[in-house]
Amino acid sequence: MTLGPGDIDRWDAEQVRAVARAARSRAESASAVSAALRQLPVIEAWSGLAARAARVAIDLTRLALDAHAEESRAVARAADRAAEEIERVKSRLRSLDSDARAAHLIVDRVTGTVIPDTEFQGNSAQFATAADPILIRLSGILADATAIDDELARAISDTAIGLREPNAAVAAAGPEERKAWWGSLSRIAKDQLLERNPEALGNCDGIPAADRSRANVTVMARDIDRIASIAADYGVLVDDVAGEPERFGLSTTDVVRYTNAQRVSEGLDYTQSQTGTEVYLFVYRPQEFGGQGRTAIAIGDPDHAGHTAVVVPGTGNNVANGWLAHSDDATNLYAETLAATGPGPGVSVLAWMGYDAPDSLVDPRVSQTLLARQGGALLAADVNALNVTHHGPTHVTVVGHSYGATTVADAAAGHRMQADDIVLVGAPGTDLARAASDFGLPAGGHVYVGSASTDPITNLAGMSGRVPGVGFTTEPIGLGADPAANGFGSTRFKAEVSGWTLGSWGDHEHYFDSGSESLFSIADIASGHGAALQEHGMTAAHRDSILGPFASRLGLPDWSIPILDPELPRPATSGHYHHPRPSAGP
Amino acid sequence: MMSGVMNPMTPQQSRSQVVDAARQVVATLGLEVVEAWFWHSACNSRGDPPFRGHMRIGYPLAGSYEAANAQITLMAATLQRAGWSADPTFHSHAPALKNNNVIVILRPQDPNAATRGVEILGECRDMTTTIEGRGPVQPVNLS
Repeated sequence: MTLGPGDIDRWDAEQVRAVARAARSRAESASAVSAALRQLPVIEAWSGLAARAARVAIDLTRLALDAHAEESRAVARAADRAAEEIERVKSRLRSLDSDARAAHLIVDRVTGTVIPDTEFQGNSAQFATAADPILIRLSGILADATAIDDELARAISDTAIGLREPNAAVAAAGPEERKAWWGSLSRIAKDQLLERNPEALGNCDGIPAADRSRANVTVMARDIDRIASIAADYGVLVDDVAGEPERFGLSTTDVVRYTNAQRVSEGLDYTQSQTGTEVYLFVYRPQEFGGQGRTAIAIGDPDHAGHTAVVVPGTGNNVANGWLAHSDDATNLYAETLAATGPGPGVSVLAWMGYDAPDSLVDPRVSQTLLARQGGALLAADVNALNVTHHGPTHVTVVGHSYGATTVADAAAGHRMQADDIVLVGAPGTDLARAASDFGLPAGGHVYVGSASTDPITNLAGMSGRVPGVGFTTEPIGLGADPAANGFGSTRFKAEVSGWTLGSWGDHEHYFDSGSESLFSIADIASGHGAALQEHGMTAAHRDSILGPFASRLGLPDWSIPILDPELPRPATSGHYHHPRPSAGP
Repeated sequence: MMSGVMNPMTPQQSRSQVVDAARQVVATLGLEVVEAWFWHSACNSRGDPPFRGHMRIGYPLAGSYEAANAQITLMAATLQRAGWSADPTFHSHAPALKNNNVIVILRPQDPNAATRGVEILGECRDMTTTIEGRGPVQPVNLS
């Protein structure tokens, strides 16, 4: 709305300053409450599930309070600015009135124009000559006044949204609601929140990957700096501080966070240099799983990718021992999937070290399903969060290796993970999923399986109650059905390994090797071209009992029936080579 | 653990193998190198030996995906004239060629990357490097 000179007369800069003072006072109150919540002594000492739940609730409240404080400060700043502008505009209008009077003219408040006073002497041409400069100045003043008015109104209404939404949306804590809340904030407000509350926002499902990553990288950098800066201040080595943190006023938690932050930072550097593309720190929880850490790095923006794949590693891997930097699984898959995809918005691959994997092959938990089921819940939540913030059509493939394959099966069959396709490589069993139909995939979705005939881990699948080397446990052992077996309902692809010397892990660790049948096939699937496996000669026959359909009638335990793997006598294939897909390609 | 490889290489030899090949590829193709990175990469998911030398050379993006493809086809032909040949045992969706047991992969244009990539993979013959001791990704000066 355009203002008139009468509106400017009625403006009162002092009233606007009073608004600024009230907003600032409200900001200070909110900040004080937030700070007090952070410093509650009980929070430091309290442990257990209830404490954890309380901490989450307190974090969310602090997030809302801090957001409230920041928005209030923004109003205060806008109001102060507006008050100054108002005074300037009023002064310019007074000066214009004075100049007009000297020329026997009046700036008319009713019509918003310039008229002659009773003493004006002259004809209409002389009036126009005198009035035009006054009119030009008046229109400039009115335009500025309108802009000030609009800006103040926008600042207040933006803030009204900001003040109203975070409490409701964040407290509800559903990814969709968080997305709506985040989307309602101005970019400035988002930037301020990311700066002030990175701990609360970095792992907040419903917030875009790029914003989560900014927050998580901020927290990671602080975790590194906390120890590095103390070492610099005292002139000692970082290892000295990490070895005796208490001497420097730090805790072992600070050391765990530092160590894992370094691992994650190395992982980010490696994946970025290896692929040349942008990487995102999608999940960063360095203290989880007894200090082994929970993290996911996305190579390429998962919110805008045409195809997204999530790589779930298996036994023996965690953040603390460096999987993110040490393994090329995700970067190799990224490069091959990009090549198999063709033109479009690009791809994203998540290196997902988001669950507590068994520590080693002699960890009793390796033959039990507990960690897979717990991990499945976390995986399902992270994958489903990807879907919430994604723009445009998407195709999500979740790829599980080794114990990670069991975790993927449990995420799909037990926790409603929303994936389009599933890939299981080196799978020791599918626990809650007894068949491909249990994965709950949409129409057109498939469970694809890569099991090298010479991979000893895949030969454990289908067994129960007998896993070599872990017989001392009293818990039920065995990880479930073999997805490569006939009747499971999977599509098996070729995954044989050529030219390798067998070690204790044998051919269990070559599914993501550059140039392998397996990586080539997984890229076909992750790029949405699973049907091309046939065309590329990459499908393989399923395993079957050597006794065929008679096996089930004999009443023998599963493990005692010899399995025939038609892939065993076949050497790895050769001759698979493709030029880049043309733009009109499938 | 792996029981070993025939004719192992030292970490330095495995680095030289790919850096030399990278120099040859850059010279043959007349590539404008924007960035070049080297790392020792484990030849399995476990991070166990053997290791190989691994490089990514970044060069400028083409005007479009199609233009990049056309250039990559020409680049593959140029490398073949210079002695590189297809390796039937190496499966890739991108053009991959081999020379003296070194693989070069011409990666397609990535809409989200600042450069196009050429990847160089050496032989899996380095039994000395460890995953913990291999250090960070190293920038390489190919000029």
